[in-house]
Amino acid sequence: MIESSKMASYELYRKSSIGMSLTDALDELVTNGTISPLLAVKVLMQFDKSMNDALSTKVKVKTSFKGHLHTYRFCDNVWTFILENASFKTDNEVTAVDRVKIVACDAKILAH
Amino acid sequence: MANTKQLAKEKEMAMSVSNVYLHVVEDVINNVRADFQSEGVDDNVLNELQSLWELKLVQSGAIQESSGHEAPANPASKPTSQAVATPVHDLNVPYVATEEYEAPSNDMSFSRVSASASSREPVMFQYMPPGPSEESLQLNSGHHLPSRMGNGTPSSYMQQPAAWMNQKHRGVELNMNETYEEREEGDNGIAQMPVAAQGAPPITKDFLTISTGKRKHEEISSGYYIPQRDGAADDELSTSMGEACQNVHTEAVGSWVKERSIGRSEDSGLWLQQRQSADAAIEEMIRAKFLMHSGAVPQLDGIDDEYDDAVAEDYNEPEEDDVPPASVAATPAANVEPTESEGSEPPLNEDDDDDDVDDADHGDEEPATNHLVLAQFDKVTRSKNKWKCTLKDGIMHLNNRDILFVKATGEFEF
Repeated sequence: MIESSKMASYELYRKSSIGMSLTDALDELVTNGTISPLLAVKVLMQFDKSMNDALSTKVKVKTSFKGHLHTYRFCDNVWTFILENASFKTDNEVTAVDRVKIVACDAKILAH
Repeated sequence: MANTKQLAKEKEMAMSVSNVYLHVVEDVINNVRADFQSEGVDDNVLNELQSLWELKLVQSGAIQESSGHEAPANPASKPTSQAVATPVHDLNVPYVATEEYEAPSNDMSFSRVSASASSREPVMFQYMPPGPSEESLQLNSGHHLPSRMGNGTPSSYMQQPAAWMNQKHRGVELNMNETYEEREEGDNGIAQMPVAAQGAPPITKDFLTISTGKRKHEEISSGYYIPQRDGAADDELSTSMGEACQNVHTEAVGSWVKERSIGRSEDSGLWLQQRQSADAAIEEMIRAKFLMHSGAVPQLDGIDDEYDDAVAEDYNEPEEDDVPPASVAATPAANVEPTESEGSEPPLNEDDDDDDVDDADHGDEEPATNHLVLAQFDKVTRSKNKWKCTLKDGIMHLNNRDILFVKATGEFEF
């Protein structure tokens, strides 16, 4: 996983709660003039890298999920699924949701 | 050795979402320190960023403070739902654009449809009021304008189209006689129509023919629509047809008035007959009017366009056939200028188009959901309606709780 530090990183995870928290925080600092927008962008890029790294190295959880596929789309190498009545099963617990959106970038492109 | 490895692994397994997130925060903060320094930004600002970030993380419920009290306090999870709502919106933006691009392709498909329709049934015919039967077709051959009487056709030939017309285009009546006459008539002036769907005389039958609608599309897309029209109409109308049309116009109106006085109480065959001649009369009136008012280019186009649209609509939606013939039939009786009824219809059609677009928009709009999975896919396969996918490095946000995975397999049916 050492090579992961050299990889390009998806910005995908900026939409997660941790990414949005960072974006909000940066937004405040940029708005009140504490940091420059450029610096904020650099932080976000570092976040992309750190998040990609952390997910592939720090996380061991495996999940399986089922559901009814409501919508699928493959555009610009990004799959988007909308599942209805989906259930996600991790080691010992099942999480059920009425509707979930799944956005997935191509793992292989990143590995190049 | 194996035990320690096992232990380490379990420890890693146990690394909670919160821990991963805090690790990421640390990692980011440490790695941007150099950037901050090179920009001359004080370290305090970096610390401020870190605490702001962590605060917001806690507020969003993504991580739990050691006490664990804040996690259930989830009114603060609003930002997260915004975060989720945002991608939904973003993804819709390109979709709108697609919709715009689809519009022409719809036109294309329409023209293909009508093209196949016209190849199957090469000639498009006179439009008639709804309800007439085969009988009326036969009658029509005798009762149309005198100048065309000679062209009366064997009824056996007409029966066949009548059958498919009645079945497939309930309200639409087609008159084979008319078509062939018109073609001959038109051939004088139509030769310049390269697109020339067989037997779609441009001027005489524009508002009645379906293939005209198709030609319109093609012409527009290929860009020679206007010049061609103008040249054809001008030449043909001013020379061969102009005077004839005037005569025909008065004749037709006369016969219409006469027949109308017979009244509707007569048998239905007669009534249908009248309506047909009324149609012819209207047609002639329009043509004459069209001739008298215009050598002008814009006017020609306008009239043709409007009729094209109206007919295309009728063809596609036979149920609504009642409306246009009614208005057309009412025209001569009420002495209303044909242009008025024309004018009222195109907007209708445009509205229909808009509605379609809107419907499509609404139908395809993704239902908003607060549950989101962000990941990378290794493989996505489908066989029939069974889908399988393997994802990795994912962040799931389900029921206001974050779950991370390194690998996920999904199976779902469409």
